[in-house]
Amino acid sequence: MPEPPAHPFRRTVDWLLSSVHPLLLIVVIGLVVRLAVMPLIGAYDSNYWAVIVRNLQAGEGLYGLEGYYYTPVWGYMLGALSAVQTMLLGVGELGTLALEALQLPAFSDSASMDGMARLLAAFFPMTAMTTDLVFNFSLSIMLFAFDIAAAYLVYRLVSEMTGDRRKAVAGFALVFLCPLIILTSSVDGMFDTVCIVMTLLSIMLLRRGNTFLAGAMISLAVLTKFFPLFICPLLLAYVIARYRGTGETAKHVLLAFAGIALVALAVLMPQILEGDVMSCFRFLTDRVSSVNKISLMQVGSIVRILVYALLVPLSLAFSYLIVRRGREEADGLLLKGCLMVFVVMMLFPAPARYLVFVMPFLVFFLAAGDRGLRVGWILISLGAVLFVVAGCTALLTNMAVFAGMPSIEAMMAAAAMMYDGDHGAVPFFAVYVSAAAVQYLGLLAVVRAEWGGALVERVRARSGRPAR
Amino acid sequence: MYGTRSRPRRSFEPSADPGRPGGRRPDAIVLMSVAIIALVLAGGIVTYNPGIYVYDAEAEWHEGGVDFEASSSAGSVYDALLLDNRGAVSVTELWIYLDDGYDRFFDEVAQLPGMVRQDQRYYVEQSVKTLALRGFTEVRVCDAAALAEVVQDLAGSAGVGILTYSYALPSEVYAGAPDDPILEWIHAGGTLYWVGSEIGGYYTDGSGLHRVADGQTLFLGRECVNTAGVSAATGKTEADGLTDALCLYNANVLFGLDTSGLDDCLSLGFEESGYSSIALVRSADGMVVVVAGKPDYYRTDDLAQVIAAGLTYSTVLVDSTRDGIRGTASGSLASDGALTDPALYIFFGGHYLVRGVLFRA
Repeated sequence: MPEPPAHPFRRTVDWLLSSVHPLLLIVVIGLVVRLAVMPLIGAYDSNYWAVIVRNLQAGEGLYGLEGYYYTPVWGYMLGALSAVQTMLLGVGELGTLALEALQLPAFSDSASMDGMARLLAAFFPMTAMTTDLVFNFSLSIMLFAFDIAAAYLVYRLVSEMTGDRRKAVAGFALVFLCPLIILTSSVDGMFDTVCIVMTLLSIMLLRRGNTFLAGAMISLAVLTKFFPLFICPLLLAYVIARYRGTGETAKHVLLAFAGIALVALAVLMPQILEGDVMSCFRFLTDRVSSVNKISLMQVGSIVRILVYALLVPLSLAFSYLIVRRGREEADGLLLKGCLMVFVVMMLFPAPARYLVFVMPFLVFFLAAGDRGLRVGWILISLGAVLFVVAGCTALLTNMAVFAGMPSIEAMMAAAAMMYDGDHGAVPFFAVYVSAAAVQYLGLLAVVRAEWGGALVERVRARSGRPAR
Repeated sequence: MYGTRSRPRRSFEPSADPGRPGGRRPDAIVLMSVAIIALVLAGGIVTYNPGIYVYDAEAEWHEGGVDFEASSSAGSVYDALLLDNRGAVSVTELWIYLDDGYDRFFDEVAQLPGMVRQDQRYYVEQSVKTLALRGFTEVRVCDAAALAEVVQDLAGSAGVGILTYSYALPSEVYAGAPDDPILEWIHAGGTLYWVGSEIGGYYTDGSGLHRVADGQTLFLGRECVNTAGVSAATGKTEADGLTDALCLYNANVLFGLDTSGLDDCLSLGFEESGYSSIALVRSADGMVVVVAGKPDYYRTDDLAQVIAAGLTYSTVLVDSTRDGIRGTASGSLASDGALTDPALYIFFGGHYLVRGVLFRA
């Protein structure tokens, strides 16, 4: 009996494996795509990074002048990048004001009290500041390196835990070629992938028994973005499960905490010396507010807090499972816990790039064989593409100003249609909301794939109906 | 929850040695971790090492112009501006009024269109820092009592500025009358910088916050403040190239002035519906400067540029140059005609200004 034809995806993976170096091929493809979309890097965020570089070049560190609201790690990376840009790449002026693009922030002028404009300001702030192309390029290159690192870590994780190199290659491709990952580094110019790399490194170091360095990396991750804080109980549970019965549990827990403390101390040292550690956490508060914004912000904050409050018992439940089931199941449960904590975290509607935290864990299980997660991957990726479509006109600002492609007049005409036409910003929001809805469905698809079956079985068991 | 019994549980066996077999070569995971930590720490050192980015400038005046030398340890861009104040006295000493009643009374003005609560103390600190970056260090923060003392010195008012971020002045200096101390002080030669609200709209005393209906007229001669909530500017003012030359970028006209019809004034920055983001208006021998916009670094930077460059309502840009720099660059700026009150303002970084310095002849 002839064998059925192989699935196209499998055939593709086989072809990749038979080439000289499949990872290299994927990297080349991914970099070409990134370089192609990189000119779309958002002027709003790149201007923001340029302001931070300006502040530290002015000798005011990260928090002396207004502009930096995050914890210090990403700022330090910008510091390192700034040294390379000014010393080696000859970046002079970081950017300039594009007079022709002044209408862009005016579209989202919330002071006009127009509801649509206020929504636009909240969801898609725009600026007429444009940053130097070399500045953008070098920033993107650094972020690309972290994209590769994230994909490589998933590759290693899949390879180590399944022993199947084909699946590992698939995992690498599913991360590195994922539109969401590409969007985050190439178009958003955001550093979420940096944080996820640190988180993955922490997990892999724990698997290697290097608890000190694992602690250092999770400390770095949390001081980059707070999200990984919610998986810390899982990591602690993993250490306990792994070393239970060996008499080394306390030693490794202490080593992990030593790594956490040492890195936190080193990272926060400038602020500690200045007696101004709270400036690192200024993002928790808001320096300005208007009467009209307060209610909206307060409602949003309350809902967010409620969703985040769910994460604590969820994280603790997975931690309990890890400890109870012991070393044998600890790895799988740790990764599953990370996936579900980040998925539930994103159930409070989050910017597209935040879903980067879900993706590596989703891809791990997908590549390892959980095909039910395919829908989640596809929808989240599709949503990322739609987000780019929604913002594409404003995203062309840098290219229009510095390269004249397209002309700034054409770009502004397109932007006016998108954000301020006869129908207000309806075209923009139509695409934007679609993108958000598609991504949200992607998250729900992940929840369904992971928990849906269990819930159905439980309901059936209670009703006395036999399982299908 | 994880681990449904109906589905075959996928158990991932940890590999015996997840690291590289053999153990001779260092594991890529460890190397990546160490590299990232090193990158972050190196970035931290760069961020907080004041010796890495060093900027300096020198100037030498001569008949009809000035020679200058600028230096930067890192790649940057510099602008050199030859300005002439044409007899109007620019500010060399600044008092910043910190209103301790700002938060107490804010709710009473919060419903005004475009009114935004700001962390007043934070923005006062930001002004001190952004001015220091530009070489303007004669700055002191004062309360109502100290402010009252400042405005009592009418004879010494020329060259002195008062900056307020508050929407109200204390009754010690202003209570809505034409002969109030602060108005007298301005007329005698002082300069008032008003930021973020309707100028002269309110004063406070022991009994609370009070509205001054004709406050704008008292300070400016007529009503011309943008109180309609129009905010974003979409065009640039015509100001002899000063907006471009100073790399101003606060494109916001909230509480800005419409200076049409006002004598001896200079509108700078950006405009919308006739309102400009910065306006410098002569008031007898003194000056009123209104800086529009919301609380953000755009506004703070533009305000600092105006003060540090010593701008007045009669300032003109005589000559200017801009170039990329790494190391030392020199140049000269000259005037075709006679200069009455020249100053050279050099700054580095363009719109992303990192250092500035003013040289007076």
